[in-house]
Amino acid sequence: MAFTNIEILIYSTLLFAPPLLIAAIGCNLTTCAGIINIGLDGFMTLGAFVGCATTYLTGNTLIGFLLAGIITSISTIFFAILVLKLKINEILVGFLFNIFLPAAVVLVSYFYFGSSDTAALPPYLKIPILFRKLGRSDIPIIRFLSNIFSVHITTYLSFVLVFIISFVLYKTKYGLYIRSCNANKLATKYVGINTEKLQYLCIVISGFLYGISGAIVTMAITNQFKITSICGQGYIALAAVLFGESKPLNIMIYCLIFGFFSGLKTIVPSSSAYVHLVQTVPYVIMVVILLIKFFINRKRGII
Amino acid sequence: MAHVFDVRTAIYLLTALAFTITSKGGVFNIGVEGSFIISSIVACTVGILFGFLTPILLIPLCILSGIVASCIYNVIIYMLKTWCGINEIFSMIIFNYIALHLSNFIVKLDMIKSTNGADTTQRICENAMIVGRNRPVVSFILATVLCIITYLIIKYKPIGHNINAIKSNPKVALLSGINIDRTLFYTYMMSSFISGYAGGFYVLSISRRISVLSGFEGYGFTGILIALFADSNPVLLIFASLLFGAIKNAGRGLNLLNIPSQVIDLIMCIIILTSAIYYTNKRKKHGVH
Repeated sequence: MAFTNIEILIYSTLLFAPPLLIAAIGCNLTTCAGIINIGLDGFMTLGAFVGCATTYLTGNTLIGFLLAGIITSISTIFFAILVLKLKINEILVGFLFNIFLPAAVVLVSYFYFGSSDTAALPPYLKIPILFRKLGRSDIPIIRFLSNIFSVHITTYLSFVLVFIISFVLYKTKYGLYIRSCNANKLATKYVGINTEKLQYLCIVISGFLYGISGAIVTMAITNQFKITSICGQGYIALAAVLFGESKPLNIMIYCLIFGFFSGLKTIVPSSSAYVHLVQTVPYVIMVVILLIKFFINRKRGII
Repeated sequence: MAHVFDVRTAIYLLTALAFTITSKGGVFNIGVEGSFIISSIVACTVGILFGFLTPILLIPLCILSGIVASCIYNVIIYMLKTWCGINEIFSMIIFNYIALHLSNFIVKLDMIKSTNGADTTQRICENAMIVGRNRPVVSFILATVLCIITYLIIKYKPIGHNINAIKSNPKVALLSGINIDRTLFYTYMMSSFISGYAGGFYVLSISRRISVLSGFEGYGFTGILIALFADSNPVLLIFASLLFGAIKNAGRGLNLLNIPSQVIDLIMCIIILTSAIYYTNKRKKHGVH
């Protein structure tokens, strides 16, 4: 499959956006329930490690992929207990989890693999790519389309998940309950809705999504867990949620934008100094978007 | 003893102090890490490029440039907060990553890149180095003095009263005539002064060169953990940093035994979590949130 530059950019957007998208939609769930989870970077690291390691040890991609989600959602229960039951400042707890989980992961990795990186996954254990066979066609347009659409199965999964979660959140009764936890927790409680239970549920489901999104990074984008594989991607997802103001379509657009700018580093040769400069671009773009939003709002007279 | 008590203890104390000052004003300052990185890379660059100056001129110049860089960094965050209303924790996280990658970019520039092809800068010039066997003690005493000065300022000066007021109740503070933006500006400036000093001092006294960082080194984050353990009390900070500095420095010795030094992070997180539960319960009992 020969790629042109534009194809590389679109392909890398579709490669880098799904983890952000799934993490962002999970984060949106907790944000709607009134909990800001800063620790999603750490949870994604846990998912990335568990996904890669269990796939390597069991030899089954699906089991590894699901275990990543399940174990991460178990770990988010601790977050939920600390925040909801013991009532510690959620930013503090998130910050602690961001330090704790990568350290724990490295420790476990030392036990099994002898170093902080896991063993590399063989190609047949990675997440499969759909529509690969179309790429051999000679007609330019079909080749272009097939190059773009022959992406990992998780890319399609992420868009489906966005649809499902946002449908539940905005079109059903339970979604209304969840959102009312954020709007007025006391009033929701007096109506007779168990807000604690809903918030626990939201945190656990979001934990599953964080785990999956971390697993995509190590099982689809790269084939190996390194301590730097999730360097700030969780925060980018958090940014997408904050910018999108809890509107699923906006969140999706922002995730694609950030995925595009994260994918820029694949074009620059890794030996030059500019690869590091390119890595700052998503974050600079965030600040620029924030400023643009601010000036638009001021013109409208909202602020 | 020499392994356990190091210049790094003083560095941890300084970054913890930088966090404490802003947390007195109600700001959870994650940006300590970023301003530490920025100030250390700037001090390193100055130390390499201005090697022709005498030590008496060069060492203050390096540290001062680090402080200025850190101040500029924090002023941007402050302006985004007060003028544009952007959540400061969020912008701090973003700027941490910008600082990380920007520092990596500067390290790889031809001007200061090491000549033997490694992913580090050159060593800083002889004139810029802070040398001497009693560096740990002297630097720790300096940091302690800074801590006590901060404590006195917050306890006895009007500005300290204002800082406490805007944390405990911003609305009442505003109505009683305290300029919240200006007070916050002072806290940011004090914090960035100290973290800038920490970054500059770190380069000149121990690391001597900056390498390409794949992730955060954690000098700022360890400082935050120390400050959380000491419940943002500048005097308790001194003892807490002795404890955590010892734990953290011992962790680097674990590498020799083939145990990953991340064990230390685990232990520290558990200690902090326990203390956080304790402090939260204590506040609940006294009816303060």
